[in-house]
Amino acid sequence: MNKLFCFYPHCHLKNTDKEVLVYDTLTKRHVYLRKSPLSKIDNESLRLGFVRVSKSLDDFVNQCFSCELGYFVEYDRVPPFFHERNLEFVTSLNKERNALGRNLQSYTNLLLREVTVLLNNGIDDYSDEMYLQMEYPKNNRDEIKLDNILQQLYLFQNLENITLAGEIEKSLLWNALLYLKEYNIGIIHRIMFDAFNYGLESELLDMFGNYSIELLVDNSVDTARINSLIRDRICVKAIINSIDDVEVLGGIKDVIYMPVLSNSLDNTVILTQMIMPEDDILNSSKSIKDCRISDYVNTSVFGHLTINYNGEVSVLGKRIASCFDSDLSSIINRWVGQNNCMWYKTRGKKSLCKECALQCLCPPISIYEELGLFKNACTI
Amino acid sequence: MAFPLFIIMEPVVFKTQNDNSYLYSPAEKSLMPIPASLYNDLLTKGDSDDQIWNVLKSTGYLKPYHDMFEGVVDNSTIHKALRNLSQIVFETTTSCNLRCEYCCYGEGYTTFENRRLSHGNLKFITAKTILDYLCSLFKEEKSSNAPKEPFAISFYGGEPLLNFSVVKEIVKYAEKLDFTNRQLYFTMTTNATLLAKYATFLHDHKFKLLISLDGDKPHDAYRKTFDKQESFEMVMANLQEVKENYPDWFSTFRYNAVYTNISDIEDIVKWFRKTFNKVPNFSPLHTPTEGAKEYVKIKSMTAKYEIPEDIRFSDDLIAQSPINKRVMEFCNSLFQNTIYKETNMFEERRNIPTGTCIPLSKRMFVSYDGKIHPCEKVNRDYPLGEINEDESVTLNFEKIADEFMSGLSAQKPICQKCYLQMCCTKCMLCFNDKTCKDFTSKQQFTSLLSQTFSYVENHPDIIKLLKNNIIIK
Repeated sequence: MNKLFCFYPHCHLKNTDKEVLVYDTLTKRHVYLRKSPLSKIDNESLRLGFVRVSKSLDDFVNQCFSCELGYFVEYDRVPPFFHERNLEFVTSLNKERNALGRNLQSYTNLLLREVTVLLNNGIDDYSDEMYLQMEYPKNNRDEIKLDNILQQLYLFQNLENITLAGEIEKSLLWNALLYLKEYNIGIIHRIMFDAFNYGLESELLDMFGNYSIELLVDNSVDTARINSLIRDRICVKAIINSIDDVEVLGGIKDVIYMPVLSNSLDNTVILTQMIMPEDDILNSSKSIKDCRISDYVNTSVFGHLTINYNGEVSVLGKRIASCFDSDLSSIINRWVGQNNCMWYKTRGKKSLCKECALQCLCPPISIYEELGLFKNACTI
Repeated sequence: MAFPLFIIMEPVVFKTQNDNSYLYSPAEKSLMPIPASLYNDLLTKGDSDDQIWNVLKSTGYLKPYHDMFEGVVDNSTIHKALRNLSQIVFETTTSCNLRCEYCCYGEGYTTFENRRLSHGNLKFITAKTILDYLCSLFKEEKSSNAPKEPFAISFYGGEPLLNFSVVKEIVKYAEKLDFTNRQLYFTMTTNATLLAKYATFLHDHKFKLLISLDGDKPHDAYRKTFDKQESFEMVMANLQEVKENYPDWFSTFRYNAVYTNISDIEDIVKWFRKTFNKVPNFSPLHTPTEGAKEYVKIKSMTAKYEIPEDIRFSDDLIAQSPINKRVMEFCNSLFQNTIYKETNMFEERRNIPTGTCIPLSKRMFVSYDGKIHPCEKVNRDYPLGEINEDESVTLNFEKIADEFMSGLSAQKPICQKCYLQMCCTKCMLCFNDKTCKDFTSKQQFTSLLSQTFSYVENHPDIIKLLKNNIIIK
């Protein structure tokens, strides 16, 4: 009889050249070995959800068994079937490209789910890199060809939300809301508190059910005043430059903290809160599906694009092309097949993380890492 | 047929021919090998003291599955489908110069009774009206340089070449139209009896042809002429002439062979390979309608087929084998980690009953009298819309969506009890009497799982092979 150790389907399995992780996504029990005892063949079978029981794996298998991460199965003649455990697609970009030699627009258009359009900004309180972290426009008073951008977005049938970030003339905003009303797309206006016109925004909230506000506040605001403005479809994001800001702005109802770092400031204390130790990562509440998706795409930006007022299209601050020179549909169509496509930049593709078996439990690569504000999201 | 009372799918345990035991959990969409002792406990006691059993129980694998079929098709779904339409099929004529004994428009079927009793030719103005309508719809999209799926204009019959003049007019007109970034091409399904006569035009306009031919003379015996003579010699003479005049074009032809009780797959494949350097696409006979005049005759001609194992894995046959198709269907539908496309990654899948395509998502079929249907294979009694004599098009997206949803609602109670509900390929628009005849019980599903995964165990590379060979749109 041949003996196999099979892992339960809800266990996330990750093996790299150096490490191995078996992680129960329901109980969070795990076996994490920095020095993997698995051979090349064992690594292959682990991908399918089992290992062959052998002397060299005794310790590993016993640890997994005692944590209830799997069970033993014996077979006589032909081994049982194990289905691939990674994400599998019936039809996918790669399959289409292999078959047709190109990406079809009808497919690549479906990938776009969210767009942020950066508008004007008359408040010059922060550095460019800080505005990048907030996904807010740099200081500018340029003319915005919003129509040109919005008309291009009509093609994208999976588009769920458009965030208009920054200051915008009333008539332009009004026209945009009227234009987008019939497309069932959510419109979010991200605006600094100093540029926020409560009367106008309140009126728009009453008129357009798909409209909401993301109000950016810093430690200079009166929190009681902010609380008095909060109503349905207004959410407040607090710009956190230091750990003290958390305390000051913590009094705002349902506030979301948004750390904004600067290379010119000492970020040491705030980084201790942002960068995760091993224990926190191993206690993250990721489902088996979350783990699989994290292994395939960058979940923080997949399907998201930023379009600057001058037509520049980017993701995580990395420029792709100008949608005033070429149409957005073609830009996405060309970009998604390329190695530099941020949507598919997972930790497995980052040299610092690719040997780490915790890569799918870690938060995805973020703007902070892209801007070099920290090298890694963990302390491991 | 009596259906079980409880509208749930229970977990299924089964053994393969190689004596391996498995549990399939529909609630978790997971298949896992289990120890033989657990399998025996479950079959005999329905319970177990095993540690595995306790884990499976506490983690939800043993819960029943109940799909509420919450998927919704609304007018915007139909509008989007139509804007991305990639094929229009014209029924050029209902006339045919052959009298194939198994013809689906014959007396063995009531499904197409309305079609059988009506006769006519497509008018150019009908085709022009719908092509103009589609072009203006496609123009709703802003022009883009990104490659789009090509757009096919297809001709179907009867025998489409019996109304060649309309084919010619449509082609010449369509070539002048702007299909907004879509590359245009033409296809035709023909019995090839008139092929040599019209070959120059078809060749010059790069038609992609699908020739209906069941094999060599003995295998093609059901394909008869008006006066009950076999059509084989006439078809072969046409093909030979075209081959001599247009060898390159001829090499692009594809063939469709209907599989019947007189078919021998190995012989047919051998003959097609030798004669055309191709293998045909095999299609089964339509299931005849019980009570139809020629039901018994057609039933006796029907045969189940499988590609023999020694030729089943060649690139041109691998996707045609029913067991391979079943493996693909199971792999694409029964597992939690298999998702239709990247864009569905983040959302919970909301299913709809049956395997019916969303109307107009694959193609549009225009019958000779200007009625619009989702496909040429469906019952003709319920058109989606029509092309009017005043050169307007009636296509009410809301009405199409409502009728589609109400048709699905009627099927829902049966689908919820069917163990093949996750991988159904049955179209409700093809059902006789609006009733699915393929309800699958737990026992039948258990047996299907056992057969399928015995096959997979014995052919460990089959899934990889199928994935490399089959591209699903």
